[in-house]
Amino acid sequence: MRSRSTLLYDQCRTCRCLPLSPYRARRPRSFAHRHGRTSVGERFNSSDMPPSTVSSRHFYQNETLLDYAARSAKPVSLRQLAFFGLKLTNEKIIQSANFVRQELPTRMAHRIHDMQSLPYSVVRNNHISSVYELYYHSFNTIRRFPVIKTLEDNGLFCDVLRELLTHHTAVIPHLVMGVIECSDLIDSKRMDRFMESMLRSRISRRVLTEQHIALTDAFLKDPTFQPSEQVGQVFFQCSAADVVRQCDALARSLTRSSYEDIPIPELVFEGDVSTKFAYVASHLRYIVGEILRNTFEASLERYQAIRILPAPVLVTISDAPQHVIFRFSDQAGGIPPEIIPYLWSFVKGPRSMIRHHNFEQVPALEAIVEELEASVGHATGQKKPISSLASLTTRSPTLRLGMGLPMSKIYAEFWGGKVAVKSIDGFGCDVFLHISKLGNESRFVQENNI
Amino acid sequence: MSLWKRMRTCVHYAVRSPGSIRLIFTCSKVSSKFSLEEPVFTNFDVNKVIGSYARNVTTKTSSFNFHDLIQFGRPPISNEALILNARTIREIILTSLSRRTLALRNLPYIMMLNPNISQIYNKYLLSVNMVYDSGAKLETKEDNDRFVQALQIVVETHTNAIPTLAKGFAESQTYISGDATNSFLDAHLHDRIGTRLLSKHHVALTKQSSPSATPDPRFIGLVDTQLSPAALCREIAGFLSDVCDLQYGMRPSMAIDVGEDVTVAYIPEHLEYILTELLKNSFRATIEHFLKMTPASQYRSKHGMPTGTVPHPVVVTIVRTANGVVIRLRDRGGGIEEENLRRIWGYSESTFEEEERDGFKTLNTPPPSITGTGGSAMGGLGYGLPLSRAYAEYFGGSIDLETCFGWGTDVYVNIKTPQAI
Repeated sequence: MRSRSTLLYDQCRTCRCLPLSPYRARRPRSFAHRHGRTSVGERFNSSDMPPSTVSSRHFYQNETLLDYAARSAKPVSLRQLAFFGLKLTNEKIIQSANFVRQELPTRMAHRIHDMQSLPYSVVRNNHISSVYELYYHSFNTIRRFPVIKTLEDNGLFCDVLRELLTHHTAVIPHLVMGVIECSDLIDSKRMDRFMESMLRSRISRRVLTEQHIALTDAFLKDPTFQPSEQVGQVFFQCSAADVVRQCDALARSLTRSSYEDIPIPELVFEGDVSTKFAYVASHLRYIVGEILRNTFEASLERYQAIRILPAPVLVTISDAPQHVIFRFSDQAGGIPPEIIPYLWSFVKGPRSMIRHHNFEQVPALEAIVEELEASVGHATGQKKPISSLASLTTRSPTLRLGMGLPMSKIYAEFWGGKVAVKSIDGFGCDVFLHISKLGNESRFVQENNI
Repeated sequence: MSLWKRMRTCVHYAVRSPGSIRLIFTCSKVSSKFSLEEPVFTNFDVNKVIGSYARNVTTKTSSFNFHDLIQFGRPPISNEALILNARTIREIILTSLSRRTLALRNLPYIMMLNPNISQIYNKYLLSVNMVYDSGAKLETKEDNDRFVQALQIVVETHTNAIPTLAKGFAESQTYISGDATNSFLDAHLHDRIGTRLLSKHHVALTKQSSPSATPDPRFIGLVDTQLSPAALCREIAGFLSDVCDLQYGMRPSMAIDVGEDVTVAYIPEHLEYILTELLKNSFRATIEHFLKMTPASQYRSKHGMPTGTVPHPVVVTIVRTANGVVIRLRDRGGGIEEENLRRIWGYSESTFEEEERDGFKTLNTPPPSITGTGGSAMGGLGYGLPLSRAYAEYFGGSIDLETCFGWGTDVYVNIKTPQAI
């Protein structure tokens, strides 16, 4: 694993400047580099904001951003995203490339504009400001890319896109850390809305990007290629029961490694166990993983309090026309009523709880980020970007972020599904997960997911 | 002429001629002979009474909580306490009734000409009169007895009001929007639950405190301090099974997996209504789903005799929580479709067949106890869910529903009751 200091000397491919490692924000000023330009910001003594976005030039140059933010993002239908049943040609690939070239900056501009409207006290936080800087840099990079006219242009464009995906890998942990640290600086509802819009936008941009890259790769390999559900490793054929079993195995092994001799409830399946459907594999694994983790955690706590063997978790799978419905029914003691109002919030309940989380969790999250960055460094040559969602899915059970449910909700609802939790205090919980079957040509359009 | 006969004449008169003015004159004749020393009420005075009570928006006079029902402890209760209670509830009841009357007056004119609705409206006017009159002087035991008698009559008058009201609203669908109907009925049923509860509770308290009554520590008025939801479920399931047998030729079953021994202090009528409605829905869904999914050869042998294959039981889980009880009903009835989910909490939204719209008359078997809700038909009224929710929410509880379409539905009934009495 590379040390932090070596990351300093990797060069950003786009402009050959120093990298956009978020850790740069915390290093001494002398290492800072701003694309070969000096500015008033360099003499800005306070260690508040990272240099490239603190200058007064940034303020006056904001016009461009506002222009993009003023445009509305074109709603993208699922058909468009997955290119079901279309025959690919040169023109179609180039068309897709230009569509992505226009859409990405527009969508990013909306989010950057959001961040600009947040209170200064929030955005000056290291984590939030590093995300801001990253977004702004990416916005400029894509915006400045010339119109794509040939397949070679598209090749260069895809390289830039891959670079971008890897740079943005660690955004989620940073946002999460930022939210924890800033939870008492801003109204919780506002913070929730901010997180929701950031995550939704991120999902849509990543799917758009990954899909285009995958189509390009497939087309270059075989120009007579017919896109299907398998395209892009984005929409996988998942077997409902298998996914749950895999997530169960993972969650179980993680739990066992931290809590060795405490019994974990078994899963019992019923219903349409052999159902298959197309979905984004990483999303589904994350959501089911979070649900199972919550159950196991509650089970463990209950066992530590009352030494009774936990009853098995009943997993019911139902095959509905538009959805696959999972119901996880446990007897792990239910959710305390005081927590229920804050179940779906990124910013948890009373202040004492937040501060407690604050100091406990941030160091562990930083470790995830470091690992991610290290793996990014190794993997820069590869085509498949690493997913920060996957890293969250495999985190240790001792790292309790308190955000599993709100994040799962966003991921499920992005594709038209839902997550609902019904708790019976003192008995157990029923979690209902509706997953849209993406294999059908659903007509729904993600208008709100910008 | 007895008092009750006088009341009935009054009502019949009102039905024949829906003008309110004539009714009040008739009323005034009745009340002047009925009440002992009170002045004759003219049209103008009744309106004044209604107006002044409806304006009472202080929480003191318009709502009560569970604790108020048991505040005097176990019967027998002293006369002073009974009279104090009578005075308090008279205020609350009059406020409620007045508000209801005004809300009815706010309905479109054409709707009030519907005989079903005007009948209800006239009953409310009568009730206001009776409660105001009979409780004008509350100082002695005899006063209380008179008041109690009036309350009993009022309760009796309104017993079958819901099917009548439902019919009236169903017939007036072209004159009022669904939303306006829902908000009117939500408020109406909420107030109705409260007034009936208070009236019947006071009557029960009085009866239980009379010298000739045998003291039973289990009951405080209408409240059963050792109500067993499990026993109630079994009773209801048995009764509903019979109804299903008549209608479908098969008997669904219910199993209680957790909470056999849980007891709570609550009003049995309320819980009974809620569980009846929900079990009715579950049973109907279970059977119809079973019939749809299972070929006849699997559940009937060659000679038409039932084989071993039966519909899955409805599983009931009862859990005592910190401030009440949660009852979960889990069925395998195939779930509820997305489009229907939005409508189930509205009124008159029954998924029962159109031909059976006279569900008011379908299988009119009386319920296990005299709840007075007018026959437990196997569906058709469309009021079951919203009314159950009104009952559950009256003291801060709730009814939640989650469905897995293609499999079944889970219903969570959350009842708030005090810890120990």
